[in-house]
Amino acid sequence: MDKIFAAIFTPEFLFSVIRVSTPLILGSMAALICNRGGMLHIAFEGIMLSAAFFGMLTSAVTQSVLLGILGAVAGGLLISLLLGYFNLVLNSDRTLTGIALNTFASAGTVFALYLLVQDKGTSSSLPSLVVPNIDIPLLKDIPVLGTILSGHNALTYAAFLIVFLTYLIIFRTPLGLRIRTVGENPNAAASVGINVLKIRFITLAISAVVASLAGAYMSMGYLSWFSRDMMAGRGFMSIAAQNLGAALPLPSLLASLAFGAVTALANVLQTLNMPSEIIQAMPYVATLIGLGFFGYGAQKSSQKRSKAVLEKARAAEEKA
Amino acid sequence: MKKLVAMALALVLGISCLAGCGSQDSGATTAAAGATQEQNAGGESEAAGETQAAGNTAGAPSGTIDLSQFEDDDIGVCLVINTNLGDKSICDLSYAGLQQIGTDYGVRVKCIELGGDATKQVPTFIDLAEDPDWDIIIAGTPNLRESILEVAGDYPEQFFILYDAAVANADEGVTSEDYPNVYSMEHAQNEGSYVVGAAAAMLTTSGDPKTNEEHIIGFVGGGQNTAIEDFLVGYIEGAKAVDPEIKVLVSYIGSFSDSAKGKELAMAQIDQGADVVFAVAGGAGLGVLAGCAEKGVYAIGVDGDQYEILKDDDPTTAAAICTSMQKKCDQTVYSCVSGALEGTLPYGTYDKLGLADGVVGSADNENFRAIFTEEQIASLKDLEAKVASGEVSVFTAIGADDASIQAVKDSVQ
Repeated sequence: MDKIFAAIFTPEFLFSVIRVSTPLILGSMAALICNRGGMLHIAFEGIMLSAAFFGMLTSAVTQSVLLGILGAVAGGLLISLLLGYFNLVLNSDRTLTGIALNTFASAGTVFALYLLVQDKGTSSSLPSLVVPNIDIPLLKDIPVLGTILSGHNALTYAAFLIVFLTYLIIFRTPLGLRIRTVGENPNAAASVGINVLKIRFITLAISAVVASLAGAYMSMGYLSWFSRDMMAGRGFMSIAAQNLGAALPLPSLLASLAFGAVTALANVLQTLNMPSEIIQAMPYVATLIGLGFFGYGAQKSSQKRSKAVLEKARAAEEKA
Repeated sequence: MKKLVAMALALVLGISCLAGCGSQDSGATTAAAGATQEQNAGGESEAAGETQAAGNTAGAPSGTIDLSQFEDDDIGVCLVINTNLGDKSICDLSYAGLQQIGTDYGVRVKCIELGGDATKQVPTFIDLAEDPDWDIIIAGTPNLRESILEVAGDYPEQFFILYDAAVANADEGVTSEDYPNVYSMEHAQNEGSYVVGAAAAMLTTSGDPKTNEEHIIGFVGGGQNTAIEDFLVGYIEGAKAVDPEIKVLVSYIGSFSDSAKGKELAMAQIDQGADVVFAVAGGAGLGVLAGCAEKGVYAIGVDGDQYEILKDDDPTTAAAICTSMQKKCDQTVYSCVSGALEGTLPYGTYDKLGLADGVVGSADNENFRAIFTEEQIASLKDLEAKVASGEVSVFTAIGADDASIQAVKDSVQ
């Protein structure tokens, strides 16, 4: 047992928690924006995968990290706007379209990879670039805190910034108000002259930009190449984290960090000669338990709310 | 207008299909009469001799196909792999061996990738057994064993080759003789791993600038199966031979393709003091190698000589690879299929090939020579010779029970 604690209570472990959480943080923010706009879908996996591929490709062709990130965003937007076109214009089922687009992204990126480098596994033969790690001056010299917080990938810092930006956009701007209005009640929004279709496309686009950064992080930071199906379920875990956070920025961030912590913990526990089958399931079991608690809590609070409403009504009746 | 667009789309689809499959049917056009085949094989036998010199247990390829065992002279060999090509490891090597067969013997060759989808296994083998175009079906790894045996039992006329897994299983009461149409073979990966384990232990105890004071090494496997466990126990035994007090950290990715997780697991081991990590995880192992390079410690590659494979595309990662435990599946596939073509492959039997046969062993390249001292290289070569001659016998996970494998793992905690 003391071995476990010795392995967990180290700055390196907390550093790895942040590293593992980054794609989940970005993904949960993307899901949050969609959820607020009433457009929650399951194609984040595909958006991120497409972004990872196009980011790698653009950076290899242009030899510019910045253009690479823009390429990733374009790749993510492609899938997201396809979803928007099918779902909003052609009225297809959003979940089925999401499944189709995830499969399309998975197979399409491998096909494109094969056409480009005759390799179905990885793009390691392409000279793609990575987003640099950043040492934060002053902070990096503080003993423990510096080891944990400094030296992360630039996109990791961007992820934390985006949590704040998401809060600003969704809760503090007129656009955010429109997005939330459309999400709550599209008919009411339309009745006051909001172009619902336009707002929904904007919602999809903003969320795709955020999700694309998660994809870019995978192929241009976490790893220095694209490999088939490299998201490995991270898109779905982001949706769960967002649900756990009740579509609020700070709780969603904490839920993402919690998932990251469980994943990092599983990685450490494995090295301590524990049965690997159980440990590999840990992040997913944690997701299920988390969602269970959230569901229970939400049910309780809604019961409480309805009880309060009933009592209020009864009191009003008695008064009358 | 609509029709035109539809036609154009159909054309694009058709062409892309052709582009996708074209490269796999390399031998298709060369398949002709027996005479041309012999000429073809004779012309290229020199090249074949160079690349496939060692490990040819089925006898040196005479280049003549024994046509009496086939229905016609249009012979097709199909390789089925459980995951996908592009892993820079076992799958790519196996396919390279198959392609060599195609050029040397002038037979049609094809590779089917199952993409890790277990539900495709049995239908694929049934389709191939039913299809008269494919005379020899070859497949590898324990993941495909059960499916191949299921189909082999139903199609006694069809020949199958199962490499890197054994037909026989004591628990199920199955022996090699039960399937007279299947030849199976396994690699003694424990022997090669013994040598790289010793190499890892030498590095971590040597005081090399890239290593720390703790005597800890790491092992990252793709998943827990007999072959991977065999790598592991050999690695542990080899490390213990150099330093009996050594600690070995063991992790499994649970996937042979999630390279991000591979990198994360390797870094978790390195954070706990490992300074040499052995990656045995196919394509996911590339992440392990990259993690070691990023953290500035040594890595050990697997299957191919991964330093040679990566040195042009990714020199920083390649530089971290101190050696590779080569499991030369290209030679295995080549010698099995050439034996089958020449009619010398003993179906219904099982072979285990190791260091002495040259199908496994540690990679010797410029990076290896630069990292290890002359003395260390000499003692590694000495160890290799001892294992090959049988003077040192290495514990194997093949046929061992779980408790004794666990005991080996517990001995280095």
